[in-house]
Amino acid sequence: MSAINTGNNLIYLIVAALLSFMGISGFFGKNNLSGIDIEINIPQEIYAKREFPLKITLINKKRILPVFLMKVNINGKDVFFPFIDPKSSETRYLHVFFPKRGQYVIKDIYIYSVFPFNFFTRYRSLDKHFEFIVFPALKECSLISLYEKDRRLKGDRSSDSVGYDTDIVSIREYVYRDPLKYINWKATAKTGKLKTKELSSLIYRPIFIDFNEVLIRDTEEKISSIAYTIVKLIKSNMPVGMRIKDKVFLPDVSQTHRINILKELALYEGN
Amino acid sequence: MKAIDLKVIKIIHVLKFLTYVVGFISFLSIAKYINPLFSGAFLFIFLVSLYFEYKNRFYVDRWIVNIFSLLVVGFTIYRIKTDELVIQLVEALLFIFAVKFLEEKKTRDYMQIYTLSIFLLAGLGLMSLDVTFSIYLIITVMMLSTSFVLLTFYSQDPDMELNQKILLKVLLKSLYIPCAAIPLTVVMFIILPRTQYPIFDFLNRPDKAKTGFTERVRLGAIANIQEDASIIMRVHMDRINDEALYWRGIVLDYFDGTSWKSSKKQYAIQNKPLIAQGSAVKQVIYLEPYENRYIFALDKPAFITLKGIKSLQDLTYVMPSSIEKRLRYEAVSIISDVFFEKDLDKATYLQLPEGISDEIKKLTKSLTRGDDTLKDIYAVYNFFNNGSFRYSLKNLPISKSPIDDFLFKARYGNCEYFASAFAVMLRLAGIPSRLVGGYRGGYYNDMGKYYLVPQKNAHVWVEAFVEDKGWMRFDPTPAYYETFGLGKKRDIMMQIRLIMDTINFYWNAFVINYNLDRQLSIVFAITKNIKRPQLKFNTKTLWFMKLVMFSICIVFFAFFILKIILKTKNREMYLLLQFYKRLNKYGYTKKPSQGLEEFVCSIKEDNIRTKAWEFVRHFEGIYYMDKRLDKLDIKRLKEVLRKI
Repeated sequence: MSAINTGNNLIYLIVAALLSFMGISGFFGKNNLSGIDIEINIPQEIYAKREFPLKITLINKKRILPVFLMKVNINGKDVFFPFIDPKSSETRYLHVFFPKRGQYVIKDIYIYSVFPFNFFTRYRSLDKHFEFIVFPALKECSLISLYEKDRRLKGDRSSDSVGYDTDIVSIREYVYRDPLKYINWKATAKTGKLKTKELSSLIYRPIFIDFNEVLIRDTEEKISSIAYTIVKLIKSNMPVGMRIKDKVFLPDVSQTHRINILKELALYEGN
Repeated sequence: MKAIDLKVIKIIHVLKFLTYVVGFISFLSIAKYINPLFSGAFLFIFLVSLYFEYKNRFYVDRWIVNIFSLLVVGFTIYRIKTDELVIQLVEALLFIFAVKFLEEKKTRDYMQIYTLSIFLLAGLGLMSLDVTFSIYLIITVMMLSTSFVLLTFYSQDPDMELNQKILLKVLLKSLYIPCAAIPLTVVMFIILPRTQYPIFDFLNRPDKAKTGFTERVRLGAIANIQEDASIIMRVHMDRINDEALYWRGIVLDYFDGTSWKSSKKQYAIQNKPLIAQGSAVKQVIYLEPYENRYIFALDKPAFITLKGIKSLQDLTYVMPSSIEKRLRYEAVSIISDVFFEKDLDKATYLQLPEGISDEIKKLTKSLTRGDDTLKDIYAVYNFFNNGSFRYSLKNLPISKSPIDDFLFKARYGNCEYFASAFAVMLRLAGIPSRLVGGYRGGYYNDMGKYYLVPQKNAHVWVEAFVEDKGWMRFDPTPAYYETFGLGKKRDIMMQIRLIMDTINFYWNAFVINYNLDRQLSIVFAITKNIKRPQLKFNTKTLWFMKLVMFSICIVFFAFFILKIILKTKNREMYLLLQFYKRLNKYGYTKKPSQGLEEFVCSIKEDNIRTKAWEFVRHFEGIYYMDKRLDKLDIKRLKEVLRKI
């Protein structure tokens, strides 16, 4: 270094400035990685072989300094956050794809940055993990038509609950916003007041799927096909039940029911 | 969403802008010292590349740029001269720097540009010791850090765009780094290891030496020095009586009729005590380089600490060679008009040139009686101070017999004439005497606690030897304080100059003259304090420290209070208060029981009411909807307020 030899204090001053600059930048680089928290929002339903977005929120908990140029690495994929204000957060979406169903854990999350100067990259792993279940891939199949046929043979059954399907259950006073087509004109003419028909809602006959009885040789294909069938049927409001191994899911159309079945299928491990 | 309204700016544009600014500032810092041809070449290339960048997006191929740079290096080696080494290197660097702007810049090219700008700054440090260096250093560090941060953004994604608001934040927050680096730089500067013997000292250009006292002073020569308004030295010391401000430098003892010479003298015996009575004054002196090797200090310097310094028998101090760099040294002087010397070689101090005119001899004879030395000296002294001589710097009598011309024709002159004539007349009367050259007076800078001695204060006085007493100082030159700037009313310009000089003084004291010795003394001072952990303060410092602590507490307290106040008395309340104030002018005061609308309804004048209504409607629309006021709302509300 020339400074030590020339004895010129101004060169010393430059060297001092550069050294302290390096030191300070090291501090800033380190500080940039600290006080960071991550939140990953995972969609409730993730299906294998289908891309879906992970909502990644990076939280800067520092009081004064912002977060600069932060990259979050999740399962080998990077998400880039150029700038986060102090005491604030930013959200980015990472599109992920899982080829297989089953239980997954995101645990190797680390953040890294080249800030402040592009000399070194600093890493820090975030001690957080997120567990979630990837449902089986949905495979279109003919199973559904099979069950449809079976159902039609048995016929629908009208229920006691009020709906808009077929049979008239009762006639009542018109209430604002009742659809016009349900106004019973006959009764209206008779009474001089607007009357509305109350119709029964149809309940489909429940479909029951026995996992063992589905004749598809490849287990994965079988699982995918069953999952597809169940999702499709529940979507059209048909109660579906399932027996798998020793577990029995009684037919239902609810969201939780569907998720429970899909979870079961996702974690199914053969015989 | 507000963010969408904001302009999105490409990082690369800002980066380029900053890089060009860095380039221009680097050029500006050294432009003064280099050949104008290079300055012109730089500006030309710089502007051309700027034009290419923004109009054509055209870049010169890299290989052309490289060949160009190699040619410059070759040319520099070819024409190299050791005495202008630094300037030539800087010129070559500047050229390569300029050429760098011509090519298409990738991340590493930006890095190269920034590195070159640091090299150029180092070049400035070698060419100039001026305080402006620190300004360029700070600007460069600030600019480079911001540019580096942007470059890092750029390197992550060359097409990155940020909206205006975020970009501004990035730029501002990246300034935290240099701001934090500045205090650390100071520490680093203090602790960086120094060597006692710099190897590449030749790189340091010698400072421009000022004209000054030479070994041979022709009559009228001092006037040249006196025309120079620049500063010869700064003396850090307590303020003393102006009468005592004689800065002793050289003793002139041989007169040849037209000029005075300093004859070869013996070095004083080491540790020979100075016999003088008076108070001792310690000084820290910063002497600018000048053409001679004599070292100045307050008259009757007892000792001066400086490496290589030798003291002479006539109480002057010399360095082995002329002073080429600014010097810092410490001196202790005894404030006294007299000092004793034993075994004086009287013949030396009675020497007179041949051809002294009879008129002078006659004049001397008429003034002196020869029985009492002191009385004779005062008689001659009074002759010069009886009002028939006046002080002047212009049209000095320069001839073959200047003393005669001065005494009998012109009757005016500067200090040299007075002192020479005085000394010659004393020697004629048989009193050993000599001339002392140095400086007189100085401006005391209260801010920096130092005397500022300009060249124009160059002065010559006389020392006469009186038996049993020793050398006595006599200044025959009529009092002319104004010339020395003493007692003069200080105007604003002078104040500014003093402030600037104080900055310069500290710059020299703490930065330029910092060396191994001072580094060691800091280490000693620290270790000394570590050994004695129980710090003792006198009551004054203790009070001061208490006061400081107390005020820090107050500031913190005030800060928190202010924060709370700001939280409660927010912008909404402020605007509302303004509204009440306006209406109060018309004589309407809102009663506590009144609602806002009720209050407005009570206004009788139609035009005021409609305007007040406008405000209230707008205000309520925001306030009661639980919305925060944003800038636009405030602006609108203020506008409405102004109309009321």
